[in-house]
Amino acid sequence: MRLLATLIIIILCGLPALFAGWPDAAPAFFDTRSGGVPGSILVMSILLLVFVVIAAISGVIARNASGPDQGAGQ
Amino acid sequence: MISIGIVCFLVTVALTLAITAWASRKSSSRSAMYAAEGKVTGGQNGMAIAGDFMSATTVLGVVGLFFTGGVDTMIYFITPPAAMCLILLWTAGPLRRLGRFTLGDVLVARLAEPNMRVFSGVSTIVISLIYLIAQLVGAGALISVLFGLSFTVSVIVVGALMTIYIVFGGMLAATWVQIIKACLLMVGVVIISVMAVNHAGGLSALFAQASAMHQSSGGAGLYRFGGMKLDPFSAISLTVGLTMGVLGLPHLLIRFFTVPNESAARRSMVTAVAIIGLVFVLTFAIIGPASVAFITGNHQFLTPTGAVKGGPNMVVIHLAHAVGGEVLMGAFSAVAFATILAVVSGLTIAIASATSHDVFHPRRSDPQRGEASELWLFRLAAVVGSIVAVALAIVFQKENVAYLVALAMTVSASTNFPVVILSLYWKRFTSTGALLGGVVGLVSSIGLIILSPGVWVKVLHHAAPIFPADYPALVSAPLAFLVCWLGSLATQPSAKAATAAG
Repeated sequence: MRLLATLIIIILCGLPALFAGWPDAAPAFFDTRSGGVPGSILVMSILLLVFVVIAAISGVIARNASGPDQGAGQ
Repeated sequence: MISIGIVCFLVTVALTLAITAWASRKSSSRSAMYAAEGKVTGGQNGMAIAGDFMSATTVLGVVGLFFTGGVDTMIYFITPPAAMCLILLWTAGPLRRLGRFTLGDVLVARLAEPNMRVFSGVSTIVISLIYLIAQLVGAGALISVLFGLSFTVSVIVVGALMTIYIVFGGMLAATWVQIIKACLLMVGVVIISVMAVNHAGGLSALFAQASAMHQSSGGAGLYRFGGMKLDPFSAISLTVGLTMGVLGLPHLLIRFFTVPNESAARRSMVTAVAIIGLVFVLTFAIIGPASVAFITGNHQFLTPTGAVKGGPNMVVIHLAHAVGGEVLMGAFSAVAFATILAVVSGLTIAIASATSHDVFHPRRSDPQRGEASELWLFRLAAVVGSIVAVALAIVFQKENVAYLVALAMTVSASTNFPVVILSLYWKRFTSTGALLGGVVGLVSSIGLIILSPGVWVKVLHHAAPIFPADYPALVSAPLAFLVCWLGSLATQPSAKAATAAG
């Protein structure tokens, strides 16, 4: 699960780099303003919010992967 | 304007100094100075991490970059939450389990090699110093614009304040300054976003106006990728550097030592990502376009040559003035100032603790005397580190703060990240591999940065760069991993390290 979550995070994180490095590869939708909101702003804002959800899920995955709390180094 | 700004600044300074005075009464031991005695809760630490991370880059630099580069700036917004999810998945728990005060503790616990402590200390100092310079450049520009003081005087004022916080209040003072700053920043960003949308007459009108203003100034398309003119190598390298860099940022990772256990460490990151996500969405989706809509072509905020007064880093401050007048400008400037103070506090702690606990680790035949001398060294390191950072900030005052932070991230991605992640998850990893890989990562990343256009041409005034790209993480980070791997295969783990690896 941790590896799968990591892979999803890396792919999502790489999207802006892909479009910034190869601007022609960005869908035409990004430059249009359907409903007033530009596609690029809409998609990237949703992407940011998705990471908040991923963080919450990652907390559960990390807890399961680490097993019971082993205390602190202090 | 100046009177409102002065009042807001003085209130901010008084509040942070009051926190420091309170914290100084509770911070007499080494554990308190380095890690707030591990008594910070997960929620509080999450807010402090958000406060620690959302720096002058977020508030000043990235909005300035959006103003000039459009939606390509998304790289700067998406990578930190992504990296924090990875920290949550892979490193938060183990770091809390193995560490005590510094990253050096983690490496020594795992690799059982005292030299790792010195290496970790040096890399922490280098990374934090570059990051600190970026924050001071932002602070100097902000205060210069607001009060008409010289950049040098402004930076010295901030340097003096951050030294006072850390010398007297330690980690506890830094934590609460960061928590308060995170709250102020959230409120500030929400208010400026609402006022910007209101000022434009609605969200659709705001986006339309931003697009029209961008095109009127000769821009190709604000919402079209390619505005930063990054070649594929630079775009990927910047992303790699920012993501891996966050995973190795010392001032962020040492915050896990302030909570009591692994669960609290993980909870910290969930809280931090939620806060950072909210602020980043509003900054990217509203404040960025609003800055283009209201600052482009507005002669009140431009010099006779058409450049932004105070440089691109000041765009968001001008935006606050444009949509909320002098009151909002003064208030938001104070928020930006608090933001910088919070981040520089965290960075100064990282530098001071790495110096006193890792680089000059005192031999303690008498534990009480050793602890006292280490605390004295911690305070001295905070003072010296601040003086060096202030001097370097004056040298690099013309650089964009987001660019400077990207450089710190590159060094972090090439030095700390490979060593930390391999030490946590590769049992065959040896101290020789770690030292070799870390040193190669440190030297190659700094060397390539110096040879890049950003330093070799812009700062050192040579005709052409030797390394063609500004962001070398795509070369230096894999190189560090390769050397770590080769160095580990060529040597055997010590018996102690094998035991520690389980």
